[in-house]
Amino acid sequence: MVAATRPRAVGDEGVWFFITADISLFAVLFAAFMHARYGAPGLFEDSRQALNTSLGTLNTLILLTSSWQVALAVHAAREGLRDQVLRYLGLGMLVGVGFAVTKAIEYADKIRAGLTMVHNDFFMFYWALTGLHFVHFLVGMVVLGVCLHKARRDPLDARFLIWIESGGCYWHMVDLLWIMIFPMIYLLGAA
Amino acid sequence: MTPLSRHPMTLAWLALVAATLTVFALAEGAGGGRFASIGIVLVSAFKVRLVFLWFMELRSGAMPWRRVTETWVAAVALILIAGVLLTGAP
Amino acid sequence: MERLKYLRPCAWTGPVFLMVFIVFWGLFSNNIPPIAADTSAALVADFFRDSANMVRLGMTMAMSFVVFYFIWGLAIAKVIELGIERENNVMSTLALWGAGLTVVPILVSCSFWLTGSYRPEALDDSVLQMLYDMAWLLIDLGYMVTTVQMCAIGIGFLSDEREVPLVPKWFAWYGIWVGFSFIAEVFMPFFTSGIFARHGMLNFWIEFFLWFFWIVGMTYYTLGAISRLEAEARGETVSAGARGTPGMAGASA
Repeated sequence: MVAATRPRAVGDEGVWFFITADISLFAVLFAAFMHARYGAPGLFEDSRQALNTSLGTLNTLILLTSSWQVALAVHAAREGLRDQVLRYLGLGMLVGVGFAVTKAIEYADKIRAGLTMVHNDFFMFYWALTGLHFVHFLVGMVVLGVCLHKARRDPLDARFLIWIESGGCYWHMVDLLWIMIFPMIYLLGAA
Repeated sequence: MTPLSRHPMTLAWLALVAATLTVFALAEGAGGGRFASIGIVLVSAFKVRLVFLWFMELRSGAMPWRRVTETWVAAVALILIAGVLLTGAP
Repeated sequence: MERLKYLRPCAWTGPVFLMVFIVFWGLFSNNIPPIAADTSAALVADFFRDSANMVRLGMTMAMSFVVFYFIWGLAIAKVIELGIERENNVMSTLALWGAGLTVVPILVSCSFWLTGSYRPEALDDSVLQMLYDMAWLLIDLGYMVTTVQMCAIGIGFLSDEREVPLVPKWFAWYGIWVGFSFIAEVFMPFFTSGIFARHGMLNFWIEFFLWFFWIVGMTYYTLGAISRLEAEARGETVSAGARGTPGMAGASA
């Protein structure tokens, strides 16, 4: 069988289109945030101080670890190792739940402090960006759940590989978006 | 399958964790100055690129996705760095 | 072949809807872009009083033609049903209902704008402002019915087993993505300025134009799909892979 001369992306090409469209939209939102920050540096810096950078860093580590597990699951699937696929997907999801827990704690804390979406422009972006990201996270958990369900009884054939590779890529997108959102909102200081 | 400790995905993860801790150190240490912020953006961009190339396996150069994602990383880094440089002191 | 009758004219109602919508709802009635949400009631009232006839005309036309969105949606749903689905018609049904229900927020919100333009001199500024706000709140927050339509269509076309699918997979994903991205509209009621407001870069310019482009692309691919289904019904196996034509079993060559 002749090998393809041009390398193909893993998973379904259509999912790659979705991913690039989605990250492009987030890039537009990043630009809007930086533009608003440019117009109100004092407000943004003061508001930023109210955020918990340790929790944010923990969130980053959680998503990175979850992505690592999911990536291992994909590699295991390619070798037909069902037990490992189940283990890594399960661990990936379990670690992922940690993100939801820390987010819930963080959001509850902000609400109690009156730092809601309408409090000021900084918090509008904080809630909108992390909120939209969280919705993506929830969808990702569902996708991983579907992959786990399929991994239990479906043959680990080409069809399954498309599922787990595509689902994995979507999950990595959730991860990489947070990698940018977190420093942009929580860490960028003004001299 | 390659043993876990030597698996490429594990090595990528370790690099990402190290980079994350670097970002944390930059943020805590330099107390929010402009240079620290730019450093944070660059390390974060490096992390995103790691995810694209290793976790999402674009190292092999699948097109157009490799080019699109590299452009995205560059564009986002540029937007953030430009914002940091242009924004006045509070 | 009989089952494909009427589909082509139905599909063509889509571009008609879009043109009427953009010209009469959008340009004549000052909705592209909308009046900024932080505009004073006095200025909104001025708009209704000064542009009463334009708005009356714009909304009359929009209300008359919005049902074409449903007729267009029917054509798409039928392509999925006849061309792709076998025993299960959940996706085509959701696509059909989604299209029909999308008509509702548009129709009703247009009636609010129309009301504002009917007798503006007799109404308080704040009442006119409320009518304008009400219309936009409905048309924006009705997003989910369109999301359901777009996602059902996307999933429907992704299930196509042809070697060369009726609709390219990337476009099916585009529809799913746009439908999913409408969720940003949930922020719209909370803001009167900025990118999330009704006139904002995200919740107006990006969301609406993504939807317009989808309508154009979807029409193009639907017309193409109807041609291919007609060819399949005639028994012509197009070399690029019509494989077992679901729903067309029994059609004579």
